[in-house]
Amino acid sequence: MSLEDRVRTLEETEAVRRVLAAVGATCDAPYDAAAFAALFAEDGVMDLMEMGVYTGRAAIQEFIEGMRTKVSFTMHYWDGYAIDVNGGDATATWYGFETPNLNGTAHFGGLTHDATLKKVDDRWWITSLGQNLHFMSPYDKGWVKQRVTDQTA
Amino acid sequence: MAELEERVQRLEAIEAIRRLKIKYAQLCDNNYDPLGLTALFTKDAVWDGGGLGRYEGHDEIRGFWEVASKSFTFALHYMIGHTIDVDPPFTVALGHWYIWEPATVNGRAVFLAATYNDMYEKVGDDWFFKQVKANLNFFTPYEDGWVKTPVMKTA
Amino acid sequence: MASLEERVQLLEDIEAIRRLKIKYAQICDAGYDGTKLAALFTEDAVWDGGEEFGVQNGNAAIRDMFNEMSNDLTFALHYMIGHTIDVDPSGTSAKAHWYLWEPMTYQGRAILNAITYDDECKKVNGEWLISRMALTFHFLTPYEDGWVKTRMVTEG
Repeated sequence: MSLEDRVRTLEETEAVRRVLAAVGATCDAPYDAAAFAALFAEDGVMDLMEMGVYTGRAAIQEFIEGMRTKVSFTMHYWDGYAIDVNGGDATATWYGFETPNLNGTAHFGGLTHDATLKKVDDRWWITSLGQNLHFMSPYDKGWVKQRVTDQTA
Repeated sequence: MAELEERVQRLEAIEAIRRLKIKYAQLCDNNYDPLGLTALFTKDAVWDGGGLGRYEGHDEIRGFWEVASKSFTFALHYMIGHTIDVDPPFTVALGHWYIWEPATVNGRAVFLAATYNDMYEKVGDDWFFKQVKANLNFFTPYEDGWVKTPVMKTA
Repeated sequence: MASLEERVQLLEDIEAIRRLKIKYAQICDAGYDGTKLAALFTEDAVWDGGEEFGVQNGNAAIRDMFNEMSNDLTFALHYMIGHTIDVDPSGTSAKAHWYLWEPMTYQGRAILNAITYDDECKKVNGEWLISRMALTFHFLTPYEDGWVKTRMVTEG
């Protein structure tokens, strides 16, 4: 690899991390559904497992709009990124810790996330976003007593 | 290649500023070392914590740290999810961070959650804080949580 | 004055060491496979769990310890957060300091674990490995209690 290629790889790793950081920030309540969806490629996919799979910006935005009504407050603590860049393609995994107010009850959320991205027109776009929900527990119970609260209920 | 040199400088600046913030965290967690922390700030720096107070210049900033450890007897400053913006000539930069902070305040376990908007300045070879603005999300006793008690009274 | 290539190498080494710690976290959280974890350590590595958890010397001992860990530690999320990485001028050894926030389930109980690490790493055949991992426990508290009531679940 040339020195320029090596510098580019470092820069793109940071650029991808910045896009993912922006994703998390748009979800800190109030959820900015339009800004969140705009970070996806047009045919991007968001796979939330039991909470559904959403394809395309419109469907993604609509789902996030729905979250706004259920989650009056939350913070997304995203870090522990492992990003691999290969030319105009990238894959990433990271850890997320969340502190939502779900229907009037404080919760702790423990998640891991994954994404694929593509660079088009000098910008990185999310082509897929996924997550593994390890726990979403009422604050006064913890993840052993109640591992998951249904967030869409 | 001047351009490649500049691109490397930007990456180095991001890493140096990231380290500065972690050093700040480590000094806070070491009983808010007042001299160590103050040395990370420019002479005209401002630390603005909203309800936690606003301090300008080394004397006021050092005074704040001297008092902090009397009520915050334990803390872990988990600095998370940073974005750092720096451009040529790499003498000023902006940063945004999340902080998740378990702490013991006046004998009570608490969770403090906030975000930071920082301004950094390079003096000589080193980066310093020019402005730290902390935006509190919640400050809650362990037993309550942030819905029951979003911001506790410390008196 | 370091050359441009040396400066790029340093940035790459910092990122590689960062990735090594994240990989460690991910393997722990996937069930503490001792063989996979030991592969991240040097042959003569030392794991130092402090007064509470003792010291393991060498790759085999570390592997065995991790294999046993999953018996009691049935769930964990290792949030590796603020860190400082210092690479020696030689470019073949480094020191790293990390903050860890770890919700976990230990012997059926929800525990909140807060650790800082002091690691040493070595570059072996072009690959960074952990040569020393020293843990400082700030709290290891039952979820119901919090660190003021019970700082360390191992105490009394």
